[in-house]
Amino acid sequence: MNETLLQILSAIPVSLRGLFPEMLVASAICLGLILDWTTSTDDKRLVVWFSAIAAFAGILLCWVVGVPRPGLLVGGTYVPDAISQFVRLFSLTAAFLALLALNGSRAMHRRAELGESALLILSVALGAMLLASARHMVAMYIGLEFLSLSSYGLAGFRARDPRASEAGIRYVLYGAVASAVAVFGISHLWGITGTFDAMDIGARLVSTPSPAAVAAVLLVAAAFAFKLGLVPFHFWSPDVYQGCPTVAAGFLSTVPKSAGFAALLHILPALLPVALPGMAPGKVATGIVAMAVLSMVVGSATAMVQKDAKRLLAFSSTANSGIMLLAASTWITLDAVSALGLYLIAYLVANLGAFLALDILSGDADTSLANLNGSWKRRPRVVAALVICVASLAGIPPLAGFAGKWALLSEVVRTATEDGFGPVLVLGVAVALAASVALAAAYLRLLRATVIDEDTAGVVHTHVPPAFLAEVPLLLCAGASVVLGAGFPLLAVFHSCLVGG
Amino acid sequence: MDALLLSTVIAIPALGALVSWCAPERPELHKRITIGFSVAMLALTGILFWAQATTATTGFLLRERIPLLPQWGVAWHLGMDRLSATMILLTALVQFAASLANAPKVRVRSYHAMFQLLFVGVYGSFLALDMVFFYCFWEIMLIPMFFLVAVWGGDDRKRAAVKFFLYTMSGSMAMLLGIFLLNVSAPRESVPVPVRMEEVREHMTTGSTGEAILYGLPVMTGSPDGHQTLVRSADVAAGRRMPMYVPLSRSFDMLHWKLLAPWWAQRKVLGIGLAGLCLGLFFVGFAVKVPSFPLHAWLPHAHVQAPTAISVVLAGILLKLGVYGLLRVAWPLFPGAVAQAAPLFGWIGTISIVWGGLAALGQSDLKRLVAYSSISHMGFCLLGLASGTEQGIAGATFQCVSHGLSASLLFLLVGVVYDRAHHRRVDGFGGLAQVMPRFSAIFLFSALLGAGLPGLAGFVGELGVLLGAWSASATRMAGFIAATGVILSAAYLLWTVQRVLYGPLRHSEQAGFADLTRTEMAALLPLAALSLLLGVWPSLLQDVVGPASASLSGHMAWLQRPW
Amino acid sequence: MDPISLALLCLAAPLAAAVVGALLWRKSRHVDLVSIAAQAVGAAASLAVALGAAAPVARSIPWLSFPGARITFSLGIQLDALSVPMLLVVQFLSLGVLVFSRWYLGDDRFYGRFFASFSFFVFAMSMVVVAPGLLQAFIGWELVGLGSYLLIGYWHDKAPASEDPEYQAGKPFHATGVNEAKLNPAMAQLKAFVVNRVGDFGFLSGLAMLAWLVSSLPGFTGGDPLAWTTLFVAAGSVAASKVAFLGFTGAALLTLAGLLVFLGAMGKSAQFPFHVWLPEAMQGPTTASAIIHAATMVAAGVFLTARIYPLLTPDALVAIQWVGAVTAFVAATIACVQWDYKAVLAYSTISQLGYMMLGLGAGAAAGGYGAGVSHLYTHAIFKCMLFLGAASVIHALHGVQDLGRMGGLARKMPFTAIATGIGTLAILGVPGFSAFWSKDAILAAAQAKMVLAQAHGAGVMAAKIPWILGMATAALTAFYMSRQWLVAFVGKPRDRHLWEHAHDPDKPSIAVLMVLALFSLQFVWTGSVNPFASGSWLDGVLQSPMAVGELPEELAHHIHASTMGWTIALFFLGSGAAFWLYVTNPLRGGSAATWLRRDPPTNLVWKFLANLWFVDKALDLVFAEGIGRRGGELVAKADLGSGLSVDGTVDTAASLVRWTGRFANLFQTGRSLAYAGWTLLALFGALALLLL
Repeated sequence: MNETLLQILSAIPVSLRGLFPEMLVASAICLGLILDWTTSTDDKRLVVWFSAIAAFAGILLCWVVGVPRPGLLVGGTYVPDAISQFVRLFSLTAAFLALLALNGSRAMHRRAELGESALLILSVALGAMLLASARHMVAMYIGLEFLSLSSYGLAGFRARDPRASEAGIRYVLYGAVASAVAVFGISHLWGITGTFDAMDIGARLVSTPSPAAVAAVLLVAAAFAFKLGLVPFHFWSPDVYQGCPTVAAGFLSTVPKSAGFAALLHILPALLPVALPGMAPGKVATGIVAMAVLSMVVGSATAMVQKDAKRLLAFSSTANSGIMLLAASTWITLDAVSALGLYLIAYLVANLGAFLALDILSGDADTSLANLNGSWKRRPRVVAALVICVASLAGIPPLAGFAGKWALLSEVVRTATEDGFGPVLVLGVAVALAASVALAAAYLRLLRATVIDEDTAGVVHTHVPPAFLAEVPLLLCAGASVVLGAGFPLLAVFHSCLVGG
Repeated sequence: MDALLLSTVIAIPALGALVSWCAPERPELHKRITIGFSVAMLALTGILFWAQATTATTGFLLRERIPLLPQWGVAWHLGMDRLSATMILLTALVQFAASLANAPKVRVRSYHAMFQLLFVGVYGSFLALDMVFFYCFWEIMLIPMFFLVAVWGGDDRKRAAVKFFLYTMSGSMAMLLGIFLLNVSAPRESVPVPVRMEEVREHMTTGSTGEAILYGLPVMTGSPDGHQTLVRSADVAAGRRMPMYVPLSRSFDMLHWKLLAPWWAQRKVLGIGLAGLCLGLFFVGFAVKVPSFPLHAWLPHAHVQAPTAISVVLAGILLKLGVYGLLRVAWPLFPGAVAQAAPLFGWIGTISIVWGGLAALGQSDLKRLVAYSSISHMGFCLLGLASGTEQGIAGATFQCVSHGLSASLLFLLVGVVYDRAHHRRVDGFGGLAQVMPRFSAIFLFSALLGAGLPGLAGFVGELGVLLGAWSASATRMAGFIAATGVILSAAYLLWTVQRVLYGPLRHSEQAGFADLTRTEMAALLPLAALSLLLGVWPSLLQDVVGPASASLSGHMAWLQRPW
Repeated sequence: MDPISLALLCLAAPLAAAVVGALLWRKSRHVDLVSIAAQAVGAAASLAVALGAAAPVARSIPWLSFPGARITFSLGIQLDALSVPMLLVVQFLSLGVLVFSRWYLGDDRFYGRFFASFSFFVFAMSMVVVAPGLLQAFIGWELVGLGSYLLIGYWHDKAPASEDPEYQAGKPFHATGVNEAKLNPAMAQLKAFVVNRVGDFGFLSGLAMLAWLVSSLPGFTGGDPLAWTTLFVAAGSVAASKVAFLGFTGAALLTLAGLLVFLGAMGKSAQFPFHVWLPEAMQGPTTASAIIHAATMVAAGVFLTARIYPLLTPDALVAIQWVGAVTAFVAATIACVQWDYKAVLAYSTISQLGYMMLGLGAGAAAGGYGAGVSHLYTHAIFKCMLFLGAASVIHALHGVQDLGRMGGLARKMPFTAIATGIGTLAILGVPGFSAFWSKDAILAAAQAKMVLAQAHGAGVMAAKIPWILGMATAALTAFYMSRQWLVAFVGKPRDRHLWEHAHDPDKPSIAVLMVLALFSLQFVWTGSVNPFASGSWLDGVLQSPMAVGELPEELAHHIHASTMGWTIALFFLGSGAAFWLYVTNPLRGGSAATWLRRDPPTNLVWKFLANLWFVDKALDLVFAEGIGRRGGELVAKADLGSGLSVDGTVDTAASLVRWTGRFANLFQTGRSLAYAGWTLLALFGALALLLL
């Protein structure tokens, strides 16, 4: 079967082969739109199924195509490599799980927007994929915008739900500022260097150092920080997560991160040489670590005091981005990147799992902690899965989150002891460890609400018919959180891909 | 088949947890399951202890080493030497007693599953020889413990559980950083490191050539796979110092790291001495568990709130993990740093003893009183370890066992009165000796055990610790002050006895209290009998763990000799 | 059987009886027979040991060993000039007291438990006596403490005296010193144990210190560093060695160690200021007091001091003598104003123990060792008898202990009167009675030390004052003991009703009293009917463990004679005063006793003494209430209280994090433009940082 498929593929011009998955998803979206128009409100599930299958097909295709060897596509606009491949698999898997959940989600039950939301999920994934393999600054910007715009839609598509639309608007407004900043930065870079190619931007900047360059780089970085929800670009995330449907929130809390980091990893090597005369490159690293530390501190501390489960997870995701950013500050060693990959996967399954569990447990009510009291009585299986996911988020061994944290932080410590930025990085690691204690405190409040506290009087729970379908993706996530606890071998895989690819 | 015996020790409670989780929600059934599994553990660990005690080797009788991630040097590495054997036997004993204490009647499925899961972590930590797995087992205990306190505890249970979780996790995080630092600063290429021949012998008597190569140790002819010897037996006999080439590796192997002790001592990281830094980090991690002043504040809360069985496990076993960690990791790896910090550690121990004792005097809640007595008693362990002398270390080990027994007894007894009176206020009792003679006898016995009366196990540990503390100049003064602990313990325990058991019967409704039931006797008597036996005939235990203490203090002394 | 196995029997038999008793006392009252039988065996065995005793023998088995440090502590049995007589005394007195107790406790609700605890005590005491080393001494020491704890708390269910109508009814006259709210067996046993623990803190530290000193000596070749033999040999080299602790070195270090161990002796032997537990220990059954708090256990401190004599440096001995002298004097003064029959005996016991320490403290050269040890033996016997006498009086008067309600009992209970009278004469040191031999020896030793000091021209005052106190005590003793006997047994009965029902104990008990009375006579000890003959057939036993220069013959004679003169004079002084005050009627109507009961003397001296020198109150205030209660509560608060406590500080730190979160949360206003504003602000801030 592979052979025939490869024959078909070989018919297509070489320069496009690297982008097959993207094309597949794009065309799936178009077909999906048509399907969506032609189906009535009652069987929108068809569209969801279709998109899920499309996502799955995309995963298979990536598998078949394998890690693309670096080659300039579309005139050097897109350079898919191991990292982009990772993001493809990552976002498509996330999309697949999210779509499955969407089908069982009670919040989305019999809604006209069900179809659109499914397609929006696909397009977010597509945006992520594009962003992850872009090299050309403009292409990168387009990917960014694709990602953002579809995210806006996904956040706000429940038109009749005022909170949702409010979230959408908020997201749009704030996002607009962010992308404006990005364009501003990119245009500066172009003005200074006269090129859009991330590769030679760095080189030219070194030859012509100027304060403006630093400003420009900072502005571009800000755009990604916005996607990663890093302090001080995180303000939107709690409001948006709280507003948009829980499943979508789970999806939005993971996929853009992977894309954002991928892009960051792509341009950082090019931009890091940026320096003024007499400004140590260490200063940039210090800046990155400072941002990471800020995100960890603010994120974890604020998560501790939230009353709504989704807001809590939103701030915790800010803190997690901070921890991951530490890996980016370690001068992009391959080990660090592999560790980051493992961390991302662990975070995906745990965090998405948590959101899916919340979606099931909260039913029609909102996700304030008080509403979750006594869940252990109503849905023991779901609560058990939630406990696993949350424990994994808290980095309790032998779960996935622990593996990710271990790989990432030990790698950072190693770099710290070997490179010149030791004290700063070790400080960063210390903060990360302290932050994970604070995060644990926050997660414990979630567990306390769901596992320990009895029902609070006044909150009426319409007893949801246990839709097993809705639980499947959740159980998958929980299972993965357990299995990936032994995920260290993945590091070797990533490493080899990064080298060989 | 003894290849996987140790894994079985860990697997049985895991299986038990699974069974309890699947069994129907019927309290008595679950209780039977739990008791059944704990009896099985008692038998298994008993056999293991006996086997270990009757062998000549001071090293590991059993070892399993399955390399899992060779690239990172992570291996499923379990080992049982005299220390671990003692600890797992004590664990099984306490597990048995705790499983007999009466369990909650709500959410029994989860309760018993969590109870068993807890012991996966305990047995694992006592057996693991690979730092990664040690850390894993160490952390696995957190979640079950949190739920056991938070769901089935007293009125203020949630705050107590969170406190426990966060204190312990903060400690673990410090330990984690220490592990990272050690892992990354392990030698990148073969380095000459002086190796103590006693340890060479220990490794050569147990373990395979593959390991010998991992540890850079010579293999004697006649070893399983018949390698040529690299050591002249004369050197072995003389315990002569000779450089061994410890090969490049990023292992997490405790024994490997122990061999590297001289290497750690001379490394610096970020301009700070690596040994000192890591000792500090590990000490914080373990001191929280011990718990020693001022990291102990979680304990009174957790103890008071936890259900009886869990208090028993907490005091009887979990606290011992802290001491075990110091014995197994911190002390062997950083002898020099320990020697430098000995006065500090000694005083921390002494302060814990006095502070805990005084605080116990001021308590009005029986459980909290016993909790503080635990802090005071565990202070002796730290003091003994700080001295670094053989007597001190042996005393600390003995104290672990004796306190495991006395604390379990006292918490079970408090549980007994609580079941009858539904309160634990000391002033809410009086003259119980008239209505509950058997109870009173055992209560008095346990109080005397805690007060370190000679002839009971409690005395031997304190004696060893004080002898050790006096023998080391660093801890002499601390040891002198620490001896006031014998006054305090007698004061708070016997004062409690006097207020609870003696005098006229103050509360008429207590006239109807039933004396100990069969089950309660079954839980109490073995512990009491053992603490009497060990008190009268301490060699039973000392001859088993003594060599271990001797070898550790020897190791430390040897590495501090200039060379 | 060889002496070792015989001695082992002295330990094993009582222990077996104790175990049987502990298991069966609820079921059957006949455990008393078990104890008595076991005790008979023990006594016989000890006698056999004594008769067969030739050269000192010792045997021990390893108990706890530290292979690396080459240290092996061992338990065992050592029979020598000191332990054999003591073993004899302990075993036989116990037998007598057990027999007496059958009558005394005949109808008691806890009957069997007494015998079980008692046998356990005998086992523990024997363990101390035959100990071959300091560690076993300590182990037995603590177990003895447990035995005493159990027997003091024998009637553990009694309410405090303040709530006890019976006590309030028969309350002795002006018992101002005691705190009635804290006066019941349960409280007394606690106090006894804890006060002793304070001493044992010293004992344990001294033990650890000696173990360290000895095992760190270059000459130490492994074995038990605390075995007497090792210890005494090592003492010299320790004194010579350079090791230091707290700035002490060599001999000073040895002094410190000796005094630390002596602290334990002070606790057990109720030396000032540790004496406070003993009077309250009288809450226990009187027969228990007879053996534990009069004859043997309290004497264990003296025994231990004699045991470690070779370790004690001259400086240590000075301290010991002072402690003894002060104790003897203080206790004697207090005894003068006690109206509780047992309290008088309790304080006289303390005073006599002080005498023994005073004697030992005088030093071997002055003959103090022999004097102290001999008084230990004689006192054990007559004080035991006095307490048994007290037991029969109290039993006869249905629990009334108030001297003020006695009087004329001699007619009703002649045997008791005779025995008690002999005991009184003995304790007064009247020629022909045992203490005349031993107590005079002590005073003579004190005087001899003084003379020696004058000869050396050093420490004269330090030697003179204990002697003066000793002499004063002799007079006081004469006063309060005569007073007690006279008030109780002669004159008119003050409470006719009680007097009517008074009666002597049963025949076996009387026999016990008579035997003890016989042993309170001097010739039994000296072996000659002439009370003034010097020397005794026991001199061999009383040889001090170290060879010392004897005093010159004529000097010794001179001192002996002068002491004798002194004591006889003081006897007449004290007893005369007592007779004048309490029998003849010197004052307006009725005897002094009745007069005193109407309106107690208001002078300060009397108040001071009646309040026991305020020692009990002060200690209770500082330790029990101060450190124990208040201190405990304070630390408890400082640990778990809110705010600046250990717990609170951590909580504060945690809440700081929470406040950070709350603060950061303030920015979540939901107004997108505000968000954008903050972001841009931060952006420009970063830019400024990077560029400037």
